[in-house]
Amino acid sequence: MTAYYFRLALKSIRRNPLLTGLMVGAIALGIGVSMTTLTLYYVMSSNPLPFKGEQVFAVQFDTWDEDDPYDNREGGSPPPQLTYRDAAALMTSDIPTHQATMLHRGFVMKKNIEAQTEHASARATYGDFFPMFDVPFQFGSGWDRTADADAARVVVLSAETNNRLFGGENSVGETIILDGETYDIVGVLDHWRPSPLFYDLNVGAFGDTEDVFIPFMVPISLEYGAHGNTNCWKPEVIDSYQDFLQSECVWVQHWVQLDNAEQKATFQSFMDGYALEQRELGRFQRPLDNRLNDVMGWMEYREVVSDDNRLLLVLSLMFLLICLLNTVGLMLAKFINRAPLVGVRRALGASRWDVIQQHGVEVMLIGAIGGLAGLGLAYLGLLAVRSWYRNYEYLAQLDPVMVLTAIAIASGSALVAGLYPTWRISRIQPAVHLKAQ
Amino acid sequence: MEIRPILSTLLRNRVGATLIALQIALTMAVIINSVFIILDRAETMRKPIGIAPEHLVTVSVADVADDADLASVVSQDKLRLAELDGVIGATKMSTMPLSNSGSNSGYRNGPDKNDATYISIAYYQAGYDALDVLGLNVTRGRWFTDDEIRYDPPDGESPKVAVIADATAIALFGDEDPIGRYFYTSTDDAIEVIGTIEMMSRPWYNWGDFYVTMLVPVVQRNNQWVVRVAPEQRESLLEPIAESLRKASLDRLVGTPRTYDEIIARTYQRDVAMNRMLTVVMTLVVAITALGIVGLASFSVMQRRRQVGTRRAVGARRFHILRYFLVENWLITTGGIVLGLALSFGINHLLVTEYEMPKLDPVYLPSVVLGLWALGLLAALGPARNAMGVDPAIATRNI
Repeated sequence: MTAYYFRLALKSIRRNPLLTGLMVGAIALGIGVSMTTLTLYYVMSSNPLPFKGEQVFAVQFDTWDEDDPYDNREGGSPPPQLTYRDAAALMTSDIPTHQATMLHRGFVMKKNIEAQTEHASARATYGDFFPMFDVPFQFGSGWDRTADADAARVVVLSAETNNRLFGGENSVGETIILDGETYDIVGVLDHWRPSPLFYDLNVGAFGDTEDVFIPFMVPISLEYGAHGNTNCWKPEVIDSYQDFLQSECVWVQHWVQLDNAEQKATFQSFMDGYALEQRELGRFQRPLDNRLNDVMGWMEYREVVSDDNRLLLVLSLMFLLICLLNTVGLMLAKFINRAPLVGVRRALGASRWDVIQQHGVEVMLIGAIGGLAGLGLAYLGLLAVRSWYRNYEYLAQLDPVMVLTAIAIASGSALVAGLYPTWRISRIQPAVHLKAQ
Repeated sequence: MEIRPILSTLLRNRVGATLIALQIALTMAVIINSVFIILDRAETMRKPIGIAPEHLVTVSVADVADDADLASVVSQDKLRLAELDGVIGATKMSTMPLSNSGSNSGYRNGPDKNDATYISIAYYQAGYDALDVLGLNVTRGRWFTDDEIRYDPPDGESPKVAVIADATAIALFGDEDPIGRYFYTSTDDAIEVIGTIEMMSRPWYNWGDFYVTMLVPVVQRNNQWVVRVAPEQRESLLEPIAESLRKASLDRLVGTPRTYDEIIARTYQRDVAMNRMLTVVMTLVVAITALGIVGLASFSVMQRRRQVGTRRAVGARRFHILRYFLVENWLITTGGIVLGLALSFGINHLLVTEYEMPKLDPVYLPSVVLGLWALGLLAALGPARNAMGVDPAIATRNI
């Protein structure tokens, strides 16, 4: 019977191609636009560390000005970065399973003395960075605590850097030159590109991971600052790098891994204890507000999904609603127009359920065509978005989840749009329409 | 006019009319809020920055071996750049307006900590040539002399003199003559104002006091080069400029040269993209709604052919038929608009409270309402003309 209804539906579509085209077009546009914005939203708010995001925490200390909070949200929030001295104090704790202070800056890189210089973005961090964030390695591994303590000139290359400099070969044991100094390559990462780039949101949430990774104490021993944000509030004399390290300027990030609630509570009280100790020394004059945010909490706090994206999502869902209302109207017009025909069928013995089935098949067919066309439009929409934004290449992609969502929304939409017209046509009085013939 | 019969017909055939009215209402809410955002962003992007961007090219330079005397490195670079055909001048700058990266510091307008106003000023480290290269306009006092430029000053050294923007002068000293006055750093160093320029904006556009800036006579080794070129050559000179700077040393890293327009475009990219997306959504909404009205109006005409024929047969003119359908449509559209007003302000209220957006300015309302009326009438015109053409004889058939 379904095959018969399917044939009927095809016939009906052919009889009225313009009206059908309008309906398909409306569904397709509605799906296309809303899927484009939904995909953006979904990728921006996805968890970059899905298996561990709840055990890894960004650390915040409220070391800011007593009279003027860093951030006026929630009646005063702590700065998103730490001072060097507080991060160093945290590193002495053995409570976290893993922890790492980190900063980002640029280096001038050469494969060897004769080679062409190029720019390399570097993350200076502790060896714990790699196990804490489950960073995958192709060759070798990170470095140990001794290398951390000694500011050893060792480096881990990203897969892309290794491909460029060493043609993708195992380069562990080779060396590269950074800012004129030779570094031993101890590891090469596999492709790793968490999106959003949660661990440092200062330089944009959707940028690339760094080209090279080096021990945190290396730039400190070279007396380097960080690229990104360095924020100071206190009028204090900074004449030397030592002064800077001891200052109230916030410029480094700090992450810890705490496996369970108990460990988290222990670490929180360690942090608060440290803050109270520092208060005795005249620092931490604001109310005690030291925070541990897990990955998703951190991205929410740093507003990775911008208000623009939320707004676009709301507007595009309204657009989908308009398209659906449109389809309901057109479908209703089409079905009612066919009322005399249905009247004959009903008079010849077709039950209401038969009429509902017949029209239901047609509705689903229109929904399916519209949905498919909508997926195509969403693909084009994402291409456009990618060309309008830098760094959105990885962001604006249709993955299986989104394709399935699109199909679900399309069939759901068709169902909703077809429900009333189908019901309405099944309720007609055959007699009225027969008389009119 | 036959408002009452139209209304009672509408009430009898509620579904179709309600669908159109709802579409109009939603369309209105989408359009009003989108237009509002688009205009708001466009206004932000039109803010002048005090510099004509089409003359400038910027490129970053990093020297790994920093033993050479900076002043001579800079003057050699300048000579190399000047050899290029089309290059008018060049200066070292720490950063540029709207480049989205820069420095800001707090200053006092008096020596006494407890009796002074604190002002946050964005500062630019500028070379001697910045005046001509950027095309700045000195309004009072004078520009730096060549001797005042400090090359790679030690950490913590504050500049002795500054040229401040007019807006900064007002922020520091009100209407008083700022020339020769001093302002103070957080470490109590005094900076003398030697001149003012008309306008130069901050590196960030979403920062308050967009024009409170100053220039200080400092050249740092890794400050970028800003090159003034003939506007029509700015694209073709990008590579030659980078190439000539690369020649200086093997240990030099030269960044990607970019026109200043591109730097500004990158800063505004999110807003431009947002406006484009909103424009696309808005256009599609209008198109879909118009097509929907055409479809439903055609259907309602088709359904009432016999009634139309009857009316014609009993004496209605073609014009009356046209008027009937247009008025009917206008009533539906107006119903939608009333609903849409409530919806638009409801959504805007949400935006204001949730996203800190500005409040909707009712100034756009009349034009949107007129536009929707026109849209409704235009969309209904075709079907109404069809109705007009119904043959009165149809009334006598088929009954």
